[in-house]
Amino acid sequence: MSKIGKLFFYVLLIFLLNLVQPVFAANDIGNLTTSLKDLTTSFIGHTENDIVEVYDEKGKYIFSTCMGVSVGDRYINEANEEYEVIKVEGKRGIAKFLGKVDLLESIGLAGSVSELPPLVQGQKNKRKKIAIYHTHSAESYIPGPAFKTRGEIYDVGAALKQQFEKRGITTIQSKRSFLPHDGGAYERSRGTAIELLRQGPDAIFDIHRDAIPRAEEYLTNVKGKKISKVRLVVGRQNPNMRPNDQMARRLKAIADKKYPGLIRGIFYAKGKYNQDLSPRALLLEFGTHVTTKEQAEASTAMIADSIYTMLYGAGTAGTDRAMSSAGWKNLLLLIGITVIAVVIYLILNEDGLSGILERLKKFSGEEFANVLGRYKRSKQKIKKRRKKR
Amino acid sequence: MPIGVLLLIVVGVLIFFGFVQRILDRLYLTDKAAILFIVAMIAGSFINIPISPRVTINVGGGIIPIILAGYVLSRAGTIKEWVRAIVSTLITGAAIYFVATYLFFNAGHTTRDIVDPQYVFAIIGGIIAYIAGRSRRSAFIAGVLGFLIYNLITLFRITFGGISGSVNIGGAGIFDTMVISGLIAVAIAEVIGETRERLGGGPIKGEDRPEGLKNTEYAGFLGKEPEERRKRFQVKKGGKKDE
Repeated sequence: MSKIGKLFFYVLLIFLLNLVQPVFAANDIGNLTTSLKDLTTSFIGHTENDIVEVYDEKGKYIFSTCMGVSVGDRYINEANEEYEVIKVEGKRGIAKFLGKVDLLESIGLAGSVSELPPLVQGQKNKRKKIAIYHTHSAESYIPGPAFKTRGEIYDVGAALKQQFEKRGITTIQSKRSFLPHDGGAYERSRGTAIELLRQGPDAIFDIHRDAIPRAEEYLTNVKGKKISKVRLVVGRQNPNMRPNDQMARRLKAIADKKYPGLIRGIFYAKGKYNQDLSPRALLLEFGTHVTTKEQAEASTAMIADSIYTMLYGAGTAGTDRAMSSAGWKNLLLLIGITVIAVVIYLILNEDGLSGILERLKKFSGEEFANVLGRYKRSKQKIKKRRKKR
Repeated sequence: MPIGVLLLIVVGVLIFFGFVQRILDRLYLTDKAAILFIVAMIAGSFINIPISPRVTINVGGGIIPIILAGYVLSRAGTIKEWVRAIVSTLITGAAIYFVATYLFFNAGHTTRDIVDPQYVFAIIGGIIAYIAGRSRRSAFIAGVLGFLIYNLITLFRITFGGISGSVNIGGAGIFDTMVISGLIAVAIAEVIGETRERLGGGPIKGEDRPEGLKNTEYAGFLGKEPEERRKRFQVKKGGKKDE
């Protein structure tokens, strides 16, 4: 390719990337002008336009979300019925019903909620600590346009912090803003998540709100209080997925018993959401933009209480086999993936499979051969070389 | 911490560092230099330098990778490679910006049907740099500095767009997207490059080796002159020198 050809190719590539946007976003394809927005415009994702509604194969409505839905995403609804998304067409997803889940049984915890061992072990004299941050800094409980300042979500975080502190948990809430709200937000909040994790919290929560325009889906009465429900989100593409999932299921099981209706469901979404940084990380969505901040704040006492029980529990102490087995499972997965990656690397760098075997032979030969063997080998090599000449 | 989870964390970190070491090795860094850089990134990740109230730069995830990219660039052979690396860096930065702003923003949280943005940025850097330079080194440079450019664009937007935000360049240390996108970019260039070579029937060894590959004038960037290396190699093997 000539220089000009290459340059042209790059320009075309960027142009195409830009054009693809509306198609990807499944918004109206005719609206290409949006791609030429001014550099300084801020966007708010998590708006009503992003809604994807998911139905089952018979057309029964299951749930909707503004997080974008991909094939393979799973969802456990309020009644603990599990679905898996098998098709996404624009703003409509189709999911198949996988069956009803017993939350505790599914993670190898027999027995009832009241007997659960606490997640945090052997910390009788240690300080209890939790970290909170807000990747989507502009989220507020107002419908409509974009804005450029820190949103009401920080107040919900502060209310949650207050509830934790009431129960004797030291809580660190990062007030840092990660605007603009775009695809790089999680990349920007990553540093803060690590900073918080360095302080050794027992768990870390990223606090959001949903953006589906259906207040009725989020509003409920729990123990005589009008609150907005909380949805848990687990990132599917992260090496800590199983431990994170364990925590989510455990939390829902505890909350279902103590505060029925508080947890709206668990959404297993594509992505990591920085949950790869800790086995005890979760993303919580407090209500949606058409419910009120007060309703979200009203739910913080209940969720804080459930989280407290989950982490420090009233249950019998003992080793947490379930969490451990989740760790083991993921460990095996990680090792498996690594082995495959190493094999691919070797295939690329050696002459195919025979080259790999050769290399392994060489390796084992050098590592485990006795002196005589090695001497023999080097002699043979010299002979070979001489023959060549 | 349950033992399974603890092991998961330990092994995960070890595998990651192994991966980092392999990648740096592909960039023709000596083992010593590679370890030095890895240690510097880990140690430096604890230090944040505030530049303004809104901007901080992390030593381990920001300054060291930038130095490393500069070092890798300085060892690049030719002016041509310099130019290619810089051009692919600029394009990668722009591409990351467009993808982050236009492709993913409506997804609210996630990246529809692709993978986590962190990897997408890295893949963009790798592919663009590979097309531009057919070079692992420029892939690394484009991955690291391309993400830096995206950070700077964000900085521009929060400074002049009246958005309340902050930028911590390389804030997550060795686990920051800036570092990871550089590493994955090299891996991508490696996979594409080696696969293409295999598909093309190469590399040819022995007598029929193409003329251009016979002489070892480019072997110099392995740190030692080829002749000297061969001598050392032979002595090490314990075989007699058959002159």
